[in-house]
Amino acid sequence: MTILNISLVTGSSSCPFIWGVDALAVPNAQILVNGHVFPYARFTQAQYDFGTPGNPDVQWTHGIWFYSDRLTNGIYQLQLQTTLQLDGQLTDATPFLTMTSSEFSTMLSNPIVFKTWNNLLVGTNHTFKAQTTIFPATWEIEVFDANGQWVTGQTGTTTNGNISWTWDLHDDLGNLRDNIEADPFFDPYVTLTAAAGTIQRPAPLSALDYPYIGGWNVAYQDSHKFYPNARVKTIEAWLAVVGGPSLKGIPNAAILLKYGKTNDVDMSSDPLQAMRDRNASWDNLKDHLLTPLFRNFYYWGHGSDFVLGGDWDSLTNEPPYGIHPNGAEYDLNVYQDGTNTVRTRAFLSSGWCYLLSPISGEDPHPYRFVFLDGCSTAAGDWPVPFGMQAETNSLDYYTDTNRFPYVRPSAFVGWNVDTYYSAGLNSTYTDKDRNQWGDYQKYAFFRSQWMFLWANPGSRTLTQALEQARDTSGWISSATYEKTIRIYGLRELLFNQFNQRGDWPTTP
Amino acid sequence: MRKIVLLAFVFALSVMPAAAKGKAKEFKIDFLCCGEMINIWDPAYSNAVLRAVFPYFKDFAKELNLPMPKLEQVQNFVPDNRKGEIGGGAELTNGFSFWFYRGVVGFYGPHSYPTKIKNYWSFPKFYGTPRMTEQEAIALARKMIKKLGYSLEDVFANFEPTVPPFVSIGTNTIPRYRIQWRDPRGESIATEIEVDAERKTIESLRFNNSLVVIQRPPPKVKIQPSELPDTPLNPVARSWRRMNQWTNDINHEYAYRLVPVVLRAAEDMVRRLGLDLPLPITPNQIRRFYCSNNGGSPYVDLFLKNNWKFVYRVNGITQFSTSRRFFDSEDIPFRLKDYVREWKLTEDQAVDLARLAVKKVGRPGLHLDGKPNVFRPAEIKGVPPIPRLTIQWVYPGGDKPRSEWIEVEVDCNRGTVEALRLDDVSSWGAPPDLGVPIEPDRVELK
Repeated sequence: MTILNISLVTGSSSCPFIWGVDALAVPNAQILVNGHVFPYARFTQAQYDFGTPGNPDVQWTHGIWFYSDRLTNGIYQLQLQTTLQLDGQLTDATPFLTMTSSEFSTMLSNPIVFKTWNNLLVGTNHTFKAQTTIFPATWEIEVFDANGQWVTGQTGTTTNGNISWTWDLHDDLGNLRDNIEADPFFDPYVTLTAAAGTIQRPAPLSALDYPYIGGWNVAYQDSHKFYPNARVKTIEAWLAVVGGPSLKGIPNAAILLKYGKTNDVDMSSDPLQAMRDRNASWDNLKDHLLTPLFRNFYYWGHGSDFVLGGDWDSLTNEPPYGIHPNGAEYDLNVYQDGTNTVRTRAFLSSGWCYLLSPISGEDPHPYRFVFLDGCSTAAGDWPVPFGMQAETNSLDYYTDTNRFPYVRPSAFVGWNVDTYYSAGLNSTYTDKDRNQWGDYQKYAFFRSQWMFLWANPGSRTLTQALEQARDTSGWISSATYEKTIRIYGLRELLFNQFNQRGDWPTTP
Repeated sequence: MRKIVLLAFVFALSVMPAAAKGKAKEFKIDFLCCGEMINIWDPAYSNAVLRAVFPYFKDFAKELNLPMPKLEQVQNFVPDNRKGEIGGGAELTNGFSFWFYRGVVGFYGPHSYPTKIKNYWSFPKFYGTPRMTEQEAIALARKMIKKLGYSLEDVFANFEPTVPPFVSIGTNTIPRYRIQWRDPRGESIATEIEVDAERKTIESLRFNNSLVVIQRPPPKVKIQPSELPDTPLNPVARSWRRMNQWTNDINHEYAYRLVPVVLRAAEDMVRRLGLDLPLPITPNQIRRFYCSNNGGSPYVDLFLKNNWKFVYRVNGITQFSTSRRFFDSEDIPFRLKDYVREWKLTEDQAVDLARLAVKKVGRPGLHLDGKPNVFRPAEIKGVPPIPRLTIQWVYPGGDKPRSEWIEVEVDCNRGTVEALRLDDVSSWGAPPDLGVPIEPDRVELK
């Protein structure tokens, strides 16, 4: 991997890279600052001009948005840490390799530093904070909306470098701007005027922390076609999961993720059209994930440490079980569709999800609940881009006002191993770690029961709902459950708790 | 000298398999691990299977006092999709479903909770008021098992079941006792009976397929299914055609020549460990010899009629288990009482015994010094002590591909090894050269 341009970092910079490998093989990359993962950096894919002004050569490439003004000025050691997917399959043995580049130094001297800038607008008013190295000075904070339209602003002076303004969320016309569906984010700028002149910097994009009510994305990858009976039951269970939020009057999107080859059920006989269909369904999921309304996400399909999805079954002929799917694999074909080149987009990487990060996202977008119901989804960094950590926390942790960012209580559910069901009714599958997995009917019933028990009447905690669903369904034993599931964040989260904008911060 | 030895070796190879070939063909090698997928869409075959198993459904319904099923009520019947497995499941217009697998019948009633959830709005239909206690429900369930002619011991229903609490939603209750008797060999559910505590009826009953002891031969069906259709209109059938071809992936001549090689390797394993299997192993002792091409090297499951089992992989025996195995015994008749004994070995002694056994048959340098994983029979209330342990060494650990996967089941009463798995990748050399290629000649399906 080669870093093309990271030595001149000022403010927020996009640093493009050349990996030397297929883009599909890079699900994530991060910047390390002085040996630690720097949260104010976001892996991205963007078009970059490799040419000259007179001879542009615009190509898609990978890069990282590096928000250097989130650091105090000084000399730092930077490294690029890249996660590579070492084969084209998402199976129970997909190898991932994390590599770290050698260190190199960079010196930061930003005139305006946003280390203390809180870009989540929590509650009924919000304080913007920044520091400047230029003082005394007059400062101005201007707030524009997502369409670039003026919202409001404030001016002040600083004699010690501190800049601070508390905004009551009203615009200059007196309108309350507390609806994230109307204002997905705000785009503030800070301008300093001092004896030496005037300087302006874009502040971190800032957003209301939550919609009036947090919607649900309930996504299902149609990945059980190999076992038609299982497919029927899992689709029924998905519909049951979809119904949970709906019956509570919560906005809800049922997202079907297309899967399979041209000769599979429901797929076009044209491989290009089949790829288009799969890509479109995953684009739909990504659009929904980025929509500020949605703050709860349930995904049911193939997974791994860093990537969800895949195009079709990866089949193995493994003695003594014979041919069976052992995960998903990508469609590696490249098609020409008119003037466009089409490749698979039927996946979601944790790196892409950093777009949602409440720290570094383009529109900070913390989630309240995420359940990635696929193999090994608790083994990578999945909680982080959704604004969570891979740790269990009490309510006291969340109510600590010194916590930064001050995101509301949330929970993440994933599996730290590959999960299975037995394809034969009334049979059991024993995996290589001697975990035992019940049949497809129990597998499906676990999901529908969980949602029913959590949503109704709404007083069960997440953990209680999952455990009773396990009990009632009989899919896995309590021993297997304890070994394989991971519930991070607030395990006591209730179905609709903290799911309205006014629920946070809590009132004592 | 070197040349002479080599020639002699080639001569031995070319003669030995040919001599063994005649005897080996006394039995039919199974080239499909999981059965040949058949055309279940053939109406003649499907109807024939339905007519064959329907009397079992009627007998079952009679014993459980269920509404007597009638053929004309069948709205959907799906036969078992493996050749020779005469069975399948039928859905009736009155909401009942029955299925038949190796002589065992199970059913769902029209009010069965887990099977009738079609979407979220299905749940409230199950609200009701319980009118019987859990103990009454368990007694009813046991009574039904006996009426079906099974002993409680055979299906583990003589032990204490797990009964999840009722699902309660505010003041509403779903009055279903889901009585689950777990299998002490793991923790899977062996027998599960759903009792509607409001109607005081059984709504579903299912036995796990691992309860071989209650299974019986299926009825005969004279009609053979027609060939699987190869049409894009039936993608499932098409994929099954491919499965049949992909799994039948070895040169049959190679497989038949391999038979004596496998038998001698199994005998060698028996001798080295001093196992009590009478030798030699002859073809007429074989119940099943499954052979496949595992990426250019052979894989064989060898089942003997006395329930001993061997796995031959690449160039040697990598697994065996005796007829007394406790774990991984879902393919043999199993009665728990045969395993209830006194513990005589400590765990440490069992580990030492396992390590010793592996050293007898494995190469030097295996990673056996670390602390192994130890698996025990499931702890189920009422189940007496079962002195069995499986000792496992995996190298390397974590998520890395396993290059050594070693498991030994120890009978801690008799102090014997009852099963051993020795998957040691670095000992896998070249597969046997049997004078014919392992790869079959075949035409790829489009």
